[in-house]
Amino acid sequence: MSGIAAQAIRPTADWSIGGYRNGLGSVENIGVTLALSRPRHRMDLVRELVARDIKLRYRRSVLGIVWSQIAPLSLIAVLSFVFGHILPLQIAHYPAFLFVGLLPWVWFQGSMVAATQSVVGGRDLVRQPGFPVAMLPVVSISTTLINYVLALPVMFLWVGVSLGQIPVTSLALPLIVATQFLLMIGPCLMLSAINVTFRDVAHIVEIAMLPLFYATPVFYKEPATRFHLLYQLNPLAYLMTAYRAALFDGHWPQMLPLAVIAIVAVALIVLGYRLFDRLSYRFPEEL
Amino acid sequence: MTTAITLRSVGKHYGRAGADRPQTLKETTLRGFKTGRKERFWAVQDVSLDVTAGRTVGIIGPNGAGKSTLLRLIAGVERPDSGTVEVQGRIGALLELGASFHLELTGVENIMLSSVVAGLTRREARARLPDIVEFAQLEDFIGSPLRTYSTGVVMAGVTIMFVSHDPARIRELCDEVVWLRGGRVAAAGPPMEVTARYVQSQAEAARRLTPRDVPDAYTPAGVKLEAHRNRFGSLEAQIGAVRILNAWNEPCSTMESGSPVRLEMDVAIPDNAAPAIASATVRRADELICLDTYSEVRAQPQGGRVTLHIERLDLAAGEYVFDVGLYSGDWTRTYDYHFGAYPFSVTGRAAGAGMMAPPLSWSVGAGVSTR
Repeated sequence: MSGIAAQAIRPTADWSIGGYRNGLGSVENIGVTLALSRPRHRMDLVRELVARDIKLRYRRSVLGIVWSQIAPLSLIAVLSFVFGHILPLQIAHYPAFLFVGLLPWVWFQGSMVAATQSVVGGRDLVRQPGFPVAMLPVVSISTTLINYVLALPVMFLWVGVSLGQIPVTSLALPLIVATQFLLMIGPCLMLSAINVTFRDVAHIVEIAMLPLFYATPVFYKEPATRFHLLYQLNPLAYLMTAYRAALFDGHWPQMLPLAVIAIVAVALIVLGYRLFDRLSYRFPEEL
Repeated sequence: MTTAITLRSVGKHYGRAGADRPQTLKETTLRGFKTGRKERFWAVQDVSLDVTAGRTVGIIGPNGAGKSTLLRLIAGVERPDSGTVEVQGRIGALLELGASFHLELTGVENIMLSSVVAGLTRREARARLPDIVEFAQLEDFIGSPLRTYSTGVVMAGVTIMFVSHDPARIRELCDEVVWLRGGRVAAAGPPMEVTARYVQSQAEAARRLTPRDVPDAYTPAGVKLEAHRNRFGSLEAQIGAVRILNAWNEPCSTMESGSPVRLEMDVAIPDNAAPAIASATVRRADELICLDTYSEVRAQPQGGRVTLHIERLDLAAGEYVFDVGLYSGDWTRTYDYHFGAYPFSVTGRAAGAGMMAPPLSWSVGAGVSTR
């Protein structure tokens, strides 16, 4: 009956995997140990994926990366017209003030929205053996950070022209950026993981950005007395204060709030990673 | 011998998701956060395996047997619900090589990106870049056979897991074979033994599909087609009359070697059985398969005709038979299979022990030294 057999079975889809041993040598529970064991690889991975995102977004466009700057610049133009002339907030050098606060806000908003979608949008990578999926939200935060960094020269130029000088305390900027980066990782891990099962999360995040924008002193100064609790509980408010102190007022930012935010951020990362890890179990089948 | 891959009673189940599962918060809230009835289905169950480093192991089994799930578990893309998976070294998926490729990026950018995604650092990727470029230029590397990888520049000393439901390819490529059936290991061991048992079980499956009360039929040449003797399959789609035609469009049972032949099959394929696959095999009296070919066929609910054109039948003189079959598009279901029902003889020059008789001639030249 070899005839039946020869006919009854056919290849339709062959696929195969080959694992290869190199210098690593140790027995690894892939996906967990492998991912954690090579920080160098993690860095390179984020770097390559960020480079890919930026190249893909701006290749074949005439203005290229300039587009990423046009959105915040036009927002600054609109806000400085409205709150400088129509409903004047009486803030000196208002456009420069806006520049300093709005750019980190745009980074925050862009990161939260992009990171929430990062796992859902990274279907191919999630299915890649041994790929550290938890890096996807970090890649999103990094990609939007690049846009922020690219806007910095324009901001410093504006601040310098408006104030007549660039405050030396601007040197604290990397520290504040690092704190904000750290703060965003935990929530982004949670949101991106939950968004795999409940795609509503992406919409909720987008909608939540508007009230959060008004609840954070981005385009206004934090009022001294009223609604104090609102600002005390909002870590972004402390970050805004720090950005403004360093880049606009010329004070060194207060270290205690930044340190507290950093501790909260680390706690959120631990929580976020545990949640992400638990949910990532089912990512390949949910995507 | 080091063990590259160790599986200990590995199991993986799925919630049999389907349309029943809530996809949004709203739906879940409306259901009071009950995730619906969980109908568990074990894709892989109680699988234990030890794969020695450097071996090529084939996984064979019909669709839905859990082959791909098992690969994903070994690759670490999914995690088992029970048991443990241990892998020594790094894992890469051949199929996924192109997963992170983008047309908008240059070749080198793509290679760097894919290498880093596959687990190399930028430095390691840069060091291998010339090799990878050379390899990519030498080989159309998705299409080239697997063995070239293992001897090739990119993967040296690799352990390979190869999945297929084609026993011939498994035999050709693998050192060991694991046969999966319903998520469990049905057999494991040397390729010849395991594939033979698998092939036999597939034939039995086709036999089981065959209904009991099928009336006998006769071929145009008068051979009786009898279910469970020389006719197998579910008969959801059917093969009707089959004719062997010569160059003058006449039915024939004897032909000259090297002459053109056509094989005509009347088929009835309902919409739900389409697309189907029609196949034809030429077998010599001693079971040797001389030709094996197939074609996809669309639905033919009113009946249709499938024709195989052979321009030259360069077979040595002898007795042969056509086996014809009709299968589901993924080859997992046999609809109708006529075994040994269409015999024919080929006349002409005897070809010695061979089975081929193509046009050929010898010539002899003088003065050429053999050393």
